[in-house]
Order: sequence, then C-alpha cells, then structure tokens
Amino acid sequence: MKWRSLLSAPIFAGLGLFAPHPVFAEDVELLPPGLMAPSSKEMIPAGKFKKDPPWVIGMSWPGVGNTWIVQTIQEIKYAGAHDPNVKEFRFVEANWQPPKQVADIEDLMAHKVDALIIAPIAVDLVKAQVDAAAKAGIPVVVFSPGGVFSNATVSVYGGGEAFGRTGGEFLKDKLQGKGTVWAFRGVAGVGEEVARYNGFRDSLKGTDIKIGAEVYGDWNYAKGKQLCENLVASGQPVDGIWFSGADMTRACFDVFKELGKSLVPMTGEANNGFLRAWKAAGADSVGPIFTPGLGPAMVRAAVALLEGKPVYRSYYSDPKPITAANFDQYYRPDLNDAFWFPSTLPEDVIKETFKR
Amino acid sequence: MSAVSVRRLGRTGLGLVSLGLPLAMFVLLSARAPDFFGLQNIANVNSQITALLIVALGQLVVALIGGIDISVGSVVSLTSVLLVLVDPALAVPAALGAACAIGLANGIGVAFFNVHPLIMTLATMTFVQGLALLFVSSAGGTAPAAVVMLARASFGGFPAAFFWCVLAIGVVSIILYKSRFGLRVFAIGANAQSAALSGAGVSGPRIACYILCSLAGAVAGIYLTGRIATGDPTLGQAFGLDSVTAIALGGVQLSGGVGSVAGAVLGTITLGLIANGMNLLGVSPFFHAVVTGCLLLGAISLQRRKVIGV
Repeated sequence: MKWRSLLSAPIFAGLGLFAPHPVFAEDVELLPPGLMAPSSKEMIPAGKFKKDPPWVIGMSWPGVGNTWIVQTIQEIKYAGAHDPNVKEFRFVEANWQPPKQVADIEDLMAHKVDALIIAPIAVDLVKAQVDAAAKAGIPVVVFSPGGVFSNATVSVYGGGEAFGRTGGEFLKDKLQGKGTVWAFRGVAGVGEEVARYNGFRDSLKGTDIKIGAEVYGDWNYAKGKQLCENLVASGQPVDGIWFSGADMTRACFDVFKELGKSLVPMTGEANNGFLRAWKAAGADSVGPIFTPGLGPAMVRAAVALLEGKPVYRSYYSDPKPITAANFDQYYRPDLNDAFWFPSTLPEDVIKETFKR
Repeated sequence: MSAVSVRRLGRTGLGLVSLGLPLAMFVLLSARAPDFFGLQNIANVNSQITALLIVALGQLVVALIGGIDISVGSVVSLTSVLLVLVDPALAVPAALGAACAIGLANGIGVAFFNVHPLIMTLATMTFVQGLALLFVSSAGGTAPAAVVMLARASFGGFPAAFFWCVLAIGVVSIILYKSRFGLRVFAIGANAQSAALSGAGVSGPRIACYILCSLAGAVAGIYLTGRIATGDPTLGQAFGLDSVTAIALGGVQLSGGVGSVAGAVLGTITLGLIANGMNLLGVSPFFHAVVTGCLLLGAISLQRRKVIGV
C-alpha cells in the first residue's frame, strides 16, 4: 500500500499533526466517522505485523471504579470475543497500582501475546514496557491522552484536554467571560484527570473567569455531594461549576435542590443517568463525550495490525458534545443510569444489559 | 529437636501456612501455567516482588516491636517524586534524608507521645502522600540514569532485581540476627516492660525501627523508579497494606516479638506468585483481591498466636 502513502502525502502536508485527517474508503474504521478519525499522516505499512490467525491478544487495564469503566470493559470483551480469529483475549487489571500495571504487562509478554493493548494509569509509567514490546516485535496499541506515544505502534486518544476544554468553553459562553467558577476534579494523580483539568484551564485563558474553589471529588457521587455541601455552606460565590465527571454533577444538582439554591451552569458528560438528572433538574449543562467505544477501537486496531492492514499511527476521538439542542438524540429513558454514549454494543445487548 | 531449637523456631513464626502456601502456589502454577517456568517469567516475578520484599522487610522490623507502619507506601511515592525533581547527583541522598525524617517523626510520635502506631503512621501517610502530589500531580519526569541502570541492568546473567533482594535480605538479617540492636528488637516486641526492667532502652530502638522501615520504603522507591524510569506520585499507594499482608502471610505476628526474615520473604513470594499466577492462568483480575483476602484470613486463622518470654 505504499502508493497510497505517496498519494496521501501532499494532501496531509497542509494539515496539522493532530488535526483529524480525511478517511479513505478502504481505511480501517476503528469507530464510525464523527466519533473517531485518524490524527496522524504516518501509517503503519501493510503487512508489517501480519500474522496467521488464531491470535492471542493481551490487554492491560488501569483499574475499575465507575460505570464508564464497567461498560468499556464490557465492550472490549465483546469485541474480543466476537472476532473469530482471536483465540484468546487475555484481560488484566491493575487496580490503579502503577507497579502492578508494569507487572501485568510483563506477564502478558511472558504469555507470548501476538498483540498488546495498554490503557495506562499514566503513559510515562509504561514507556519502558512499550519499548520492550516494540523491541520484541509485538505490535502495541496504547491509549495515550497526549497523541502519538513513544514506541507504541498505534496510539488512540480521546477525552482528556478536549473533554475539559468542552466544559470550559461552555462555562465561558454561559458566563460571558467573567465570574467565579468551582472546579470538581477526579482522582488525584491520574493522567486522564490532569489532562481534563489542563484543557479546562486552557479554555479560561484570556477571560475574567476565576476559579474560586478547587476540590478532588474522586469522580464519585458521595464524595462530590459532601464537597458540594461544604462549598455551598461556605457561602463562597459561584456562577458556574466545572466537573471532571458527571457523578459529581448529579451530586451537586441534588445539593442545590436540597438547600433551595438556584442552579448555576454545570458541566456533565455523556451518561444516561446524568442526562436523566439534567432533564429532571431543568439544568443548564453540557455533556462532553468520552465514548466507551475507545476500548473496542483499540481492539480493532490490534486486529487490523495482525491482519496486516495499513493502520494510521494515531487516532483521535473528539465528537461534538451533548447539548440542549441534541439532547433527545441521546437520552434513553428506557435504559438505566449506568449507560454511556455512544456504545459499540448491539442494540439487543444494550437493552438486555442496561434495562431499567 | 532440642527445647532451645523449638523455642527459636517458635520465635520465627514460621509454620505450616507460611511454608506451605508458596510451595502450593509453586506446584499449582508449575502444573497449570505452561509459561511459568519460562526464563522471562521467572525474571519477571523476581523484578515484580523486589520492591514489595524490601518494604516488607522494613515492615517486619516495625512489626517485631509490636508496631505497624502504613506510611511506608507514601515514602515510596515521595521518593519517586524526589528522584525526578531533585538534581540527579543529590536525588538519592535527598530521598534517603526525607525517609529518615519521616521515620523519625513516626518513631517520636509512637515512642515519646504514645500515639498508636496505626494513627501516627496514618497521619504521616496522608501528609506525605499529599506532599508527593503537591510536588508532581501525575507521572512524569526522568529518573537519574544511574538509578535506571541499577534497577534494570543484569550482572553475570542475573537481573539486577536479584541482587537488590539478596542485599536487602542480607542487611536486614545482619541487623536482626547479628547485632545487639536486633536482640533488643525481639526483646522489646516480646515484652517491652521486661526489656526495660532488664536494662534495655526501649524508646531508642523503637524510633530506630521506624527509621529503618522508612529507609526501606525509600530504597524500594529508588528501585521502582529506576524500573519504570519515571516518577509517579502514587507509585507506592498499595505498599502500606500489601507489606502488612506479606508479613502476616509469612507468620509474623503484629503483636510483636514473633517473626523472621524468612517469613517476610515467603509471604512476599506468596503474594507475587498469586498476582503472576492469576495473570498466567487468565483468572479474572477482579478475583485477585478476593483470593488474597481469603488467603490472608485463612493464614491468620490457622496460625496460633505465640507468646514469647512468658
């Protein structure tokens, strides 16, 4: 497929490295258009990692703790189990412990996997293991909030700064560039959390919006509620609230309601439970999309590499957020609160798994 | 076996559980996981247990005097952060110095102010973890080249991790079994009042034990940071409780006076084999914590509490 690289070079020349690139008809589609696009002009040549099936694919996951992760793991396993060429899909989880994730990756390599997929706690942590896998000729697909990552064969990214920026832009627009906001962050030390926060901070540059309070709610409803109660009780001024995760937004909706305080614009995310709360509260909000499809996209990238198909070096997911205008296209009253948008699972599986 | 030998064996805490568990894991994995005996996997297990072994040896020293140090994981994290923030020439001394200060604070709190070790080290754990996150909010930076080399190199066909283990075991064995300090540690742990009446200082050795434990955390942090070649403010979060689990599986009694280096080593190997075995056998990762908890409960239930010096 070298001819296509040559033809595509002039087209890509004028585009930025991380800007989504036009997708060719024969390109491997990791997720539907609009949800994910190639973000690199560099391609992994056809046949470079081609291997006769059946394959053993290993995946290292950082940890569990919320419904997004549960659904994403479910979608990953579904994608792995429904590919007839995948003999074994070995999934390991590090319980948010950096040393365990490093050990998990080493164990997967000892198990002689044909391809390795890594969703790291923080990308710098796994650099040495990615390098070792690359040296051993194992294709490695990495979820990397910062774009192309080191020696990873393919980097897939989404959420992160774009997620944080979407919420920040929403508040900037609603507050017309001035006022005081609170920031509810996720779990301290997690790379994805830092990236979201950085995106939010970037979006406020050049405005008169100041961050009046900043707390870590661990992406958790109970902790978020307690923190929100404290902040509201403190009497600190607030014109809007940025959230790193929507479980904390739901908690703050409830706190404002219980204390009889008028709602201010609050950011959320693309979760059915949040959309239900958004509708019930009559809130002014936005739902940045961090699709669970990122997981299956990494599985598809690994499969494409083993099939010998040409794959771009990186892919980026930054879909348009859920707003009041497109709310009804997403909200599913028939499903429970644990469902996240958009899903790669078939409709019958979604209805069975997420029924109310 | 003479009465003296039986008494000595009793003081080690080694028994059917602490000796049998790693052996059973070894046999099970040999039979069921074809990759277990691979050279790469053996080297992996060695590298994976090294940091926990060093921390567990530090925890053993504290447990022998009837204490507990759950701040040792935060020391690992802070060490990792200091190694990438401080000038490479001063990074290791800075990390060891910080560990000494943390251990000293723990020791003084427990020995002089009679704060319960769990509460004292819980406070230190929270403070030190917060400090690490204050310095660096997520993983990043570059570890000093010498540290990376010391953690990753191999000598004479053996991975560096092997030598870290041998050195740590050797140093702690000499401290506990070949020094007057070690004798005092066992005496204080068995019965602090008797030890004091016999003329042995109690507060000094207690403080020294907490300093040793924190230093063990710093050494483990240096090794781990070299292994991943970058700093991480949450690197050691699990080590506080994992090290307690490891020594408990190895027959060390948290009430003090009973335990051994061999027990800490066996407990660490058991935990390492559980984690490695789960991955090699493809057991659901969510089952890992369940198995570890059950083994710990079983091990402690089957080990009779021994009273020394009565």
